[in-house]
Amino acid sequence: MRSFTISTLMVLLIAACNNEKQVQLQFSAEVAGTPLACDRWYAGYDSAGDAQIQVKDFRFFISDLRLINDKNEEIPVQLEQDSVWQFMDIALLDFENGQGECEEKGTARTNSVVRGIVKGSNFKSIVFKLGVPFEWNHVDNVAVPSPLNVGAMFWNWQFGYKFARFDLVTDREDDQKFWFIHLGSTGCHALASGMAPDSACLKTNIPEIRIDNFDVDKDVIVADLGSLLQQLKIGTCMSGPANPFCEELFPRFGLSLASGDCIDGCQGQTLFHKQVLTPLAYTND
Amino acid sequence: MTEAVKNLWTGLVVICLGLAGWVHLDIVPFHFSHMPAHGIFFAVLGLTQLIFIPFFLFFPQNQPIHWLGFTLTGGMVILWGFTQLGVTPFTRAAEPVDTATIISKLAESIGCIALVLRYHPQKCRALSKTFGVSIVNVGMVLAVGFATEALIGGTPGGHHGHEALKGFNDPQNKGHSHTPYANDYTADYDWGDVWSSLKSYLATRSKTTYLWGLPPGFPKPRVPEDNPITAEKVQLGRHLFYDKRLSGNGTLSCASCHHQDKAFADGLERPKGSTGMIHPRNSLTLTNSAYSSTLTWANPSLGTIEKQVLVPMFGEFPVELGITGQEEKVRNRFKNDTLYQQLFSEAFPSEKDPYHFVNFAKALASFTRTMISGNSPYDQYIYQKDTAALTIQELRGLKLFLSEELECHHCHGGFNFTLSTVHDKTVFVEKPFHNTGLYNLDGRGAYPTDNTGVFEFTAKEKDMGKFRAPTLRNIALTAPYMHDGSIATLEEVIDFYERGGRHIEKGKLAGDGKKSPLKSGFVVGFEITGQEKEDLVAFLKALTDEQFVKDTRFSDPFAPPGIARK
Repeated sequence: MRSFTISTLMVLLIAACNNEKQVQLQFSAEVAGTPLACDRWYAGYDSAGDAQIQVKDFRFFISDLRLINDKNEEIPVQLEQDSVWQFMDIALLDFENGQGECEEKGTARTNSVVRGIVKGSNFKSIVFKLGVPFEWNHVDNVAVPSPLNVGAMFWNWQFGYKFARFDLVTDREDDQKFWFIHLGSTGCHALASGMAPDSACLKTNIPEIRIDNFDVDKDVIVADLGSLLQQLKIGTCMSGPANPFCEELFPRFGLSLASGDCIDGCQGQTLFHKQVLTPLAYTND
Repeated sequence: MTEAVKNLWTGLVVICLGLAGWVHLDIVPFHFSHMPAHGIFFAVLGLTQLIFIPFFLFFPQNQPIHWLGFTLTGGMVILWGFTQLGVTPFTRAAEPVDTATIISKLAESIGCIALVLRYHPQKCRALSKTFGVSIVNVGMVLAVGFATEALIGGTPGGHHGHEALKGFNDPQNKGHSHTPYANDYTADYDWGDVWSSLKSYLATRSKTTYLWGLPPGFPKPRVPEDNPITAEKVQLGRHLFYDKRLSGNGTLSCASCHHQDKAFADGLERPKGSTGMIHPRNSLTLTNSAYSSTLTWANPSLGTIEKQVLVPMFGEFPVELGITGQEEKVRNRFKNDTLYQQLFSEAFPSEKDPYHFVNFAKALASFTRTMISGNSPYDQYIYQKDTAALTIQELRGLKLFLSEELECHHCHGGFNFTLSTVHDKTVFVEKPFHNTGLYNLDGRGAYPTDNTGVFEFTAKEKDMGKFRAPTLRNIALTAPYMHDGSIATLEEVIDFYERGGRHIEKGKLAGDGKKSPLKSGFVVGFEITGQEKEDLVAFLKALTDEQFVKDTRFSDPFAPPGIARK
C-alpha cells in the first residue's frame, strides 16, 4: 500500500508540474442497451430478426488513444504500463468472464477501463484505433508481455492479433450455429506462413473511431454488439478478403473490405457510441 | 575559513557517512531475506561508507577519495532516486519510503553538502561536478547491479516491497519496536537470519543453477516456487522414471508407457497398468509438458506436473503404477539402495529423510519438465532461419494448417501447437477444452462412459466429451491418436476433421459426432483435395524432432551404453 501511495504521490507531483492529469476511460459492452454477458440469450439482431444469439467471447484491442481539446489539438494519452491489460499504447478490453458459453476460450478476469495520463484540459472528443499497430502486431507473442501474450487473441493465420474477437453461438443449426467475428490485418506477406510479415499488410483493417462531445469524466464508451449486427445475415467473418459476410459487416466497423481502410474517416461505424456514465456492471479486477 | 569551521564540516561528513553506513548494514538482513544479491549490495555499501571514514581523515586532500566520497553520499541519493523510478536491479517498482530510507538519504545529502563546503572554494561548480561524477559512478553501480542480478539471480518484474509490506500490514507484525526505526518493515530480520540463510543459500546456489538450454524462440517454463529445478533433482527424476521398483509389484515404470523413441508416448491404443488393468485413455506424449496449462487429457484441476505424477503413482481406477497400499515397501526399496541414497541426498540436501512421495513427485516433475523439444525442421525453418529446412510441400502444408478454412490453429495455435500453454510471462492462464465430435451416442453428444472428458470432473452436461488439445510436436511419433487411441493414422485424423465429426454407423458406439450439439464451433469441417491432405501430413511430420528422441539426457540411465532399453 505504501509503495502504491508513494508512486501515486509521485505521479500526481509530476502531473501537477506538467499540467498532466490521470484519466480513467470507461468502456462497456452491451447488446442494444442490455449489458453483455456470457450466459444470456439475445434475440432479433439478424436479418431474419428472430435468431437467438449468445456470446462466447467479446474482447478487443484499442491503441493510439488521443483526446482532442477545444483548440482542435490531438493530445495522446500515455497509458499506464501494467503489462496485464496495457502495454505500450495498446490496451485489451475484455468483457467475457470465462463462464458459461465463454468457458471454451475465455479467462475469468475482465477489464473495462483504460488508464493513462494526458496533458492539458478542455477535451471535447476522443479518438482511438480498434486494433494493434503494425510494429507490435507481428511480434513473437511469447516474448512480449501481457496483454500481447494472450493466446486466444493471437491470430496464427496472419501471424498477428485478432483486433476484435466476437464469438457468438446461435439457436440455428449447421452453418448458422456459430457466428464468429474476428477482425485483423490480412494480406500480410511473409517469407512463409507462421513468420512475421516482411512488409506492411495489404489490408490493415484498423478502424479509427472518433467520438465527439465526449466528457472524459462522465462519459462511457459503449461497444454495442446489437448495433454492430443489426439486420446482418448470420455468417462467420474472419476478415477474409472475399468473404460475403465480411462485405456486409465491414462497413459497420467503418471499413472497406476491398481496401482495408476507413471509408470516410470510419464515420459510418456502428459498434461504438458514448453514453453518460452510470454505475457499471463491469470492473477492472 | 577558520580551522574550527573546517573541522565542523569534516565532522559532519564523518557523522553523516557513519550514520548512513550503519543504517545500510542494519537493513542487510531484511533485504537478504528476500533476495541475497540485494542484501549483499547493502552490506558492501554500508561497509564502504564506514571504511571510507578513516581514509577520508588520513588523506584529507586526496582527489580520488573526494570523488569516492561524493559517490557514497550524493551518488547514493541519486541511485535511490532511480530505485523510486523502478529502473534499477532488484527492484522494479518504487520502494516504500520508511524511517531507514529517510535517515540514510538525509545523512547522505548533508554529508555531500558538507564535503563540498569543506574543500571547494567554488561551491556551485563543485556541486554540479559532484553530480556529474556521481551520475557516472551510479551508472557503473547499476551496470554491476544488473550483472549481479543476471549472474546470481533476481526476480525481474517481482518486487520484494510487496512481501515486505505484507508483513508490515499484517496486524501481528505491528507493534514491533525493538529497532530504532519505529514502524519499520525491516524490523523482523536480524543477522542470525542472514547467517543461516547465507549457509543454505550457498548450499543450494551451487546446485540450483539449472541451464535450460532452451531452443531458439522458446520462452522459459514456469516452475512451481516450492520445487525449484536443479540438475540433481532432474537426475534423480530420470532414474525414478526408468525404475520399475516405483510400481507396487515392481513390474512397471513410467517409461513402460512413455518411450523416448515415440516422443514419450507408447504406440498403443490404450496401455495396461501394473496389475493388468486397461487404461481408458491413450498414453500422452510428454513432449513439452513443461508448458501445459493443464496436464493429462481432461483434468482442469491438474495445473502442475508435481500434482499430475501422483495420478499414475497412486491412482486406483485404473491402477497404473499401483503404489497405493504399498507405500512403505516402495519407499524402502529406494531408501535402502546406495545409488538412490546418493541421488536423494544430492537432490534434497537439507532433508534428513527425503524418501517421501512428495520428493518422488518433485524429482519426476523436474525431469519431465526438462523434456523440451524444439528442433524439428519446422523450428529450424521458423526460429533458426534455415530456409532449406522445410520442403515446398511441407510449406504448403504449413499454410493450410494456419489457414482460416481449416481452423487448426484455433486450438493448436502458438509455439507449442496448443492454446493450453503457459510460460513464465503468462498473466492469463488459458485452459481450453474442446468437444471435437468424436462421439455422439445419444444424439445429445454423449461420449462412452469411461471417457467423458471434463464432464468426469464437473458433472456438467456441457462439459461432456471436452478434452485438451495436446501439442502437435512429434505428432508423427505418437500414433494412434485421440484420447482413446481410436484413430490410427494422421491421414484418418485429417479425414475426421474434414468431415467435422465422426460417424460411427454400427455397434455400441454408433452415432454421428458431426451432429453433436456439444461440438466446438471450430470443428465445422472443410474441403481439401487429396494433394492438400498429403501436404498437410507432410507438414505434421516436419514437427518431428529427431534430436529429442535420441537425446541422452532423457534416456534410460540403467541401459548399457549404446543399447536403448524398452
